[in-house]
Amino acid sequence: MSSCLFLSDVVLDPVVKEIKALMPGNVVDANYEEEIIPKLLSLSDGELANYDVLFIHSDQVFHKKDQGWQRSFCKVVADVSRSVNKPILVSNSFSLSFRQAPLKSSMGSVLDIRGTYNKEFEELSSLANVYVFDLLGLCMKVGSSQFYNYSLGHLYQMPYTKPAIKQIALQFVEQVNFLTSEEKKVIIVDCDNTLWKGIVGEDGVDDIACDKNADGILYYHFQQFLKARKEEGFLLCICSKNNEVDVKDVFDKKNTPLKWDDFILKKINWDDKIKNIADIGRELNLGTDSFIFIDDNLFELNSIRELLPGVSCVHLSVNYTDFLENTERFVFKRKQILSADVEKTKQYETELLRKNEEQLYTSLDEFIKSLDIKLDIRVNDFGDIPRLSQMTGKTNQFNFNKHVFNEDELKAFMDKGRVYSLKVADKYGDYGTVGLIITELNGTEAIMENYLMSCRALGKKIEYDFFDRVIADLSSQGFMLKDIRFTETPKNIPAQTFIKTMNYGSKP
Amino acid sequence: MVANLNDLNNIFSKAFDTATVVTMDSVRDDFEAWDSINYLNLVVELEDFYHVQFSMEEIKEMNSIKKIIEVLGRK
Repeated sequence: MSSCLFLSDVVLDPVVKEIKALMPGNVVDANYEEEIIPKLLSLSDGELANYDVLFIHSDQVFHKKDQGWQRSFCKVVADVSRSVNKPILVSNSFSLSFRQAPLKSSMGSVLDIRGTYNKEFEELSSLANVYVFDLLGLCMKVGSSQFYNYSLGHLYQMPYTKPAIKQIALQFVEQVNFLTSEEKKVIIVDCDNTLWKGIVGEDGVDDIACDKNADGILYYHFQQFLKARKEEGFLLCICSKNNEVDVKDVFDKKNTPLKWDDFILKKINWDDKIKNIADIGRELNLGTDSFIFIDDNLFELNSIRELLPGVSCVHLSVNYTDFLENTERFVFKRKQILSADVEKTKQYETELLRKNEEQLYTSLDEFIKSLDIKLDIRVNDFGDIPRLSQMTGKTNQFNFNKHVFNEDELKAFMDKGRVYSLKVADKYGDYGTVGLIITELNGTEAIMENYLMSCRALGKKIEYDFFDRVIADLSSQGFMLKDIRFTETPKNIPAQTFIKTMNYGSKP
Repeated sequence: MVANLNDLNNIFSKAFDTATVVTMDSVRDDFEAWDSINYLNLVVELEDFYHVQFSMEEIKEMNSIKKIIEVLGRK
């Protein structure tokens, strides 16, 4: 359930009607403003207080205002975005207003627009809460002659055809769901007729296809697609009813885009997939809500849908157009990609190594000692801000109050308090930045605004060491910890356990 | 393009979001729901159903069932 406010310089009532049919129970209020810039400039916090998402839509493909106007529009949107702590969707509908470029200098109209407004686009996309609503992409999909209805537009300020209205509504619903929910982290795939055409156990390695020929091309492109997702930070796993040697054989003998080692966990056995997927969750220490499961078999997909409803299920069909539609789905998108994300698979791999060794030691304490854990704590380091802000949105289990802070808010905390960030390394490798404590200072008193720790660092008592060292630092600076802001959420059970053992708690 | 009342009933009901029955003699004033926003929806639905695009003149003209059928008849 979410609520959205539209500000647009075209009438969007038919789009809103379509959206309400797609997601009943959600609030969508549409404000038509003939002059959208003055409206944006006069926008007050009170007007936005009840909304989760703001959608700003100025259609210059239709209106054709001059370039100076379109530049100031971008500028004003950037200013509004800085003052509003909410996701903002902005349509990318800009135009070159009747410009006729000489044949040799035109790069194609979409690229020309990108070049003309490059500086403004860069400023907009550098803001953490601004997301593009790809209207031009939809227009290309439908075809511009089927997308715009200029008669209706000029009479009623509503310039879209029915196919356009449907596409805008669908894309909007998907994008809002994506922005208001948690991101997916893990992609679990079946093998036969999903990673390649054919059944390796029956057809044999030689007769399965994953190459550039007609039979194999869909699977070849699908593997390329998965490889690109891995590079953005998704973890890939296999869940297949097969003999492991047969599957390994495929990767050894075929020159496929994905390799055996690209998959961090492989559940290749004859157990049911519900058990296997639940096991993947336990071993990676991640909730199955962050999983995408892709299979060609509807029985497997439906059983997962039924029993693990948080998992997003994707049906890989043999139709190439359907495949392309699937690849554009928002479950495969990231809100933001940081350098730490690119290292994800490696970090989880070393974590699995640690788990294997854990079984050799008789006591957990003994094992933790053997890891040779090193904490690197930094105070008010501006360079950490993008990762810290991302953590406040993504961390659920060890998170004191699930308050999401944007980059500006973190900067503000650094200006008036002490913000501690924690990097951890042990003998197996680097964990990256995994911990954050925000404190606000007042006289000689300190208040802990939030404490969070990434789940891949949990289970090693790091959360206790970090806490103790922060308290020690505060007292060396002359501050006493007076209060901790803690709120129970359905997911922060590890944090609740921590609070209980520390005998601390927020006074209501 | 020959429009029949049965199709028009469905199209009007969809556009006005309420079950609507039209006759050959129906005019704009007969329908409380026929305001400018719902007329927008109606034009969008008519264009989608009959695969046509109306000119501005035609959109201004269609204020009764007879007119709608006449305009569609010219397509």
